[in-house]
Amino acid sequence: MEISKTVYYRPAPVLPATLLIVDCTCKPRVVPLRGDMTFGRIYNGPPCNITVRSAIVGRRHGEFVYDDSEGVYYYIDNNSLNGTYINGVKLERYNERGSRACRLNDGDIIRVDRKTLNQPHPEAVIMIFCTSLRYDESWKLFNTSRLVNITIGRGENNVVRLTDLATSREHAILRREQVGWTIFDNNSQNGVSVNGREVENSSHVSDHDVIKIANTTIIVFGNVLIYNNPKESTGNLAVHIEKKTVDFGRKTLLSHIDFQVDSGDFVLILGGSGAGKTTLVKAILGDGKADGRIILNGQNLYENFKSMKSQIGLVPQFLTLRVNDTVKDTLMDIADIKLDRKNYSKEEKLRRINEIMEKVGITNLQNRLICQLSGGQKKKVSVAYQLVGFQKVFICDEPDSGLDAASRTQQMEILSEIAGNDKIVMVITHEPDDAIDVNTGLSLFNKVIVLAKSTKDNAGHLAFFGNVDEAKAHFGVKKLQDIMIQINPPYEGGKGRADYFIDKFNAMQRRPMYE
Amino acid sequence: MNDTSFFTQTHVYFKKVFRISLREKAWKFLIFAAIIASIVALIVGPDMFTKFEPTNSGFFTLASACIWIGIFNSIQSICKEHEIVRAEYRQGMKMSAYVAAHVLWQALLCLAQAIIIFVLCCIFMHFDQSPHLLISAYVENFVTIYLLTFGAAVLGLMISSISGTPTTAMTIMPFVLIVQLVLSGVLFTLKGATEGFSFVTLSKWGMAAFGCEADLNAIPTGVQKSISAIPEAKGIVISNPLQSDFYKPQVINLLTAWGAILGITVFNAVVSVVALKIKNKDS
Repeated sequence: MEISKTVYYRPAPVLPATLLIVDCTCKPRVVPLRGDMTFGRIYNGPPCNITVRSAIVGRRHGEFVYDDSEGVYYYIDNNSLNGTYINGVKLERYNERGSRACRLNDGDIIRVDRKTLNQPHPEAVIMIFCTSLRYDESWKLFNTSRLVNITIGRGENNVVRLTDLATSREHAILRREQVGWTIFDNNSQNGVSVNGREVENSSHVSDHDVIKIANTTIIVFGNVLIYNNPKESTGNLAVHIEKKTVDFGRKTLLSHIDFQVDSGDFVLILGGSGAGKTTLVKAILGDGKADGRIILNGQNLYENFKSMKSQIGLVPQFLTLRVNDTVKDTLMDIADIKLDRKNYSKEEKLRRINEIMEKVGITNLQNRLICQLSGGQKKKVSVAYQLVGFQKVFICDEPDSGLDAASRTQQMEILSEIAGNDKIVMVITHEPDDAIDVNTGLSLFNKVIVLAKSTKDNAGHLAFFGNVDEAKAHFGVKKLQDIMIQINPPYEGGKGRADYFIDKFNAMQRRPMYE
Repeated sequence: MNDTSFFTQTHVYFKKVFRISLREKAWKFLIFAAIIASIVALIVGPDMFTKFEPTNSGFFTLASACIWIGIFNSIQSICKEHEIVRAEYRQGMKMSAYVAAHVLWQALLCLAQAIIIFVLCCIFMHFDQSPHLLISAYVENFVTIYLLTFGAAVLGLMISSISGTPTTAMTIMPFVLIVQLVLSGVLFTLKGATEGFSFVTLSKWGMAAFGCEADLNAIPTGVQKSISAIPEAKGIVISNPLQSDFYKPQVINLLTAWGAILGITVFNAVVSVVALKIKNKDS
């Protein structure tokens, strides 16, 4: 679990509309809404676009209608027998076709149930209209049958532990009553709402009610709580460098570098010597500002350097750790620096450190001095060191240098796993083909950036940006490392075709992705 | 995202510096201090408080030894880890906390060294012959030795902060030591600008503290002693050009000297923080 202080809740960026559906099977599912769609129960006739298992839902119960002029969805009840409730209000019959169209907003609760909503029908269906929910959001079920008090929050002692940073450590308490529950807001930073209504101090919660805590949706469903557990999303990193010069503008090191990588991307940075890899890394880190913009999650790094610098971490080529300190002390100290005492207890920090050591595979080395470790082990400690904080982007400068082939692959697997954890990992390596999935034999990288030094202006240019297969096709090679042969100058053993590939890439239609 | 306080970070870095210093055999600094103090005390101690010259040069040598010991403690402690500092600064380290941790560690190390120096000096020097101004001559001389060593250690930190590498720091060190020795006012009479510069040296104020504590002006020079032994020369007054107003045995002089040393120390610590911030500022 990520450890941080509670952040202010901001509505997530608008995503494609989805419908979270919970029917009597008690298995939440997210259905993407794609234009006009019909809704009804499963039966032997022609199915609706959206179907549920419920006897109280009509065969063609309602419709979702998309108004593309406004870009909004409406719901119409088709004069169904049991009707449809939206946020607790039943849609009334309007004409022969059905009810009035009800405009849907993010978080609206669409329910097919009997009139007494606080005593829901066993086969009632709840649907939540969402424009802030990811299609692949994971949902959890929590059995409450033996519990009287359920604490909800980010702290480790909570019964329902959430990872969303907008959730307070001890956010709320759900207390069982003779009928239903009462939810108490623990004076949380971002509050609690029930069925869209903000909770002042406490509020009654009936079966099938929907509780919203920042980015988390909790549905009370009999003796089960159904909730999502959204992770902090790192968003994307957009790099737009006009140029990077030194010597008071006389020498250009980088020119026209534009690309965007997204959270989860494991990015390979390739380039010959002097192509500007290190300059690019420094520009992204903000250590050597370039003419241009580095946009992380919509914020310009150069304009907010002080507050954003810690979001981009560097695993340097050479060790920058104190060698006469133990692995555990090194990690614990940086945890003490990065994680403030107010929000994180000693135990939480220790748990975080242990998790990281486990993930990186250095648990057995924790009491060793760093100077006693091998090169590969030191690299792992460097990676672990960066993982302690909240970096959204990791830039690794030759994390595999000096390692044998097996260790290189293992190191890359670890980094790939970090990227898979909703981070952006960018790696400079000269052995890109060692980063393969041992099971599939496919490259672990999903994006490739190739920098090449142009003979026209002696500056580093983007010779390619795209996925691995496209990169191989672009350069006409079978292995990633052969790209270097194509672009390196002849005196470095290459074919000297850097200018050709820079021009070829520039000729490809590209729109600026940082916008 | 990060808002760990200055005090939390200072605590973390102090623990780290303490731990690593012990692993890096920090006790060797105590042995250096013992060896240097032994040599100084053995050579200059017996003649001190007998005549002005040996007392003056004895205190000067003692002050110089304290400054050398202090600078040597810390001269490499920051410059050897500039890359680490840069990486940690990105992670949210506060430079002020980092420097404060080093200063605290030096305060501790210098305390141990000052005790060693003082004990060895007590064996060979007769501090009890000095008048006391505040508490006792022993305590006052100990405080002076401690402040000088600690002040020099922080000066070393400052040099270490502005130096890019240990080699650069070790190259700068002799120049700084020479400046301290020359501007102390003991070897040469300072006038004009040089006298002005001397007010920012530890050696000047160290000598002032030792001098006023020992009532140096009252100790006769060799010539004065010889003349006074001749009955025919009674009434002839020979002045001592090395006498100084700072050596007058007044509490204010002692406190001024200590205050000046502390002031220089604080200034050097602030310069260290600023230098490190500038060094690691985004370009």
